[in-house]
Amino acid sequence: MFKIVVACGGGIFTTTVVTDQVKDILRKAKIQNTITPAKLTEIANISDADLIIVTGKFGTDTKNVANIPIIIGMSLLTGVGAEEFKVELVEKIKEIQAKGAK
Amino acid sequence: MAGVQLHTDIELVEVSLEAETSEQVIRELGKTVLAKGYIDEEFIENLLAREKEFPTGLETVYPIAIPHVGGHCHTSFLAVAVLKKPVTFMAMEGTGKELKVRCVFLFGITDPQHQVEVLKKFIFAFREEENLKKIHEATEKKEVLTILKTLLDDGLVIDSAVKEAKD
Repeated sequence: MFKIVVACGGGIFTTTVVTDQVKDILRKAKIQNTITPAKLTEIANISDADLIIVTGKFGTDTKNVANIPIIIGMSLLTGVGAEEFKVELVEKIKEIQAKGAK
Repeated sequence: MAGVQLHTDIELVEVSLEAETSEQVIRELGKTVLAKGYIDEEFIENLLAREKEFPTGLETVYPIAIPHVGGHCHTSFLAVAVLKKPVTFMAMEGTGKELKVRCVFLFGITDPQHQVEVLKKFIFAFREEENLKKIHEATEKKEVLTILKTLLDDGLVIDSAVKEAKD
């Protein structure tokens, strides 16, 4: 099971919209997953996830305690680059899975 | 009670609004929402604080802003301002980029799990240049409501605005 955390400023609006789309992408890619919402202020301390998708401001120097990869999912909101993002997301997940996901 | 729909009405729409700052726009819309009892007073202050920390400007073809914050909301709503002149909102991705925004969509969300469909509809609708153009060109409040209703369909309830003592 691939564990994803989706985080935005408040953990409500954009997280909800992005989560819904990520679920869709992963269903089509046949990747079993669980997605948990979070706030951006929480991402540094998340330890139980394979990937974090953010839609909002986080310092690029933000280090996650468990070195979980962080990717930016803004394109799922604005639509600009959304198709490319879908491909990148699946590739990224496969890459992480190859290394051994949690 | 959490509903799946967003409420709006003609009083929650501003067109040709003149404002200098994003804060003015948020306060102006917030005042009306507060008067309807949809939110507590804290909502506006929390929203402004959130906007500073985690801004909500979206760099769509015509940049828009979607200020929203969790808590202190009793009825889910959508309030809209079409501005005469753009105000500055910071881009959500936190690059420090300033966006010149003329359409502000203020959201009150009681339960994102229930409201995911309408939020999704909103995001998808306003990825389209054509829809963005239409709402930016609107000069009548009614027109704004018609556009939103077409785009959000049953995700949006247009209440008949009750005339209050202010007239």
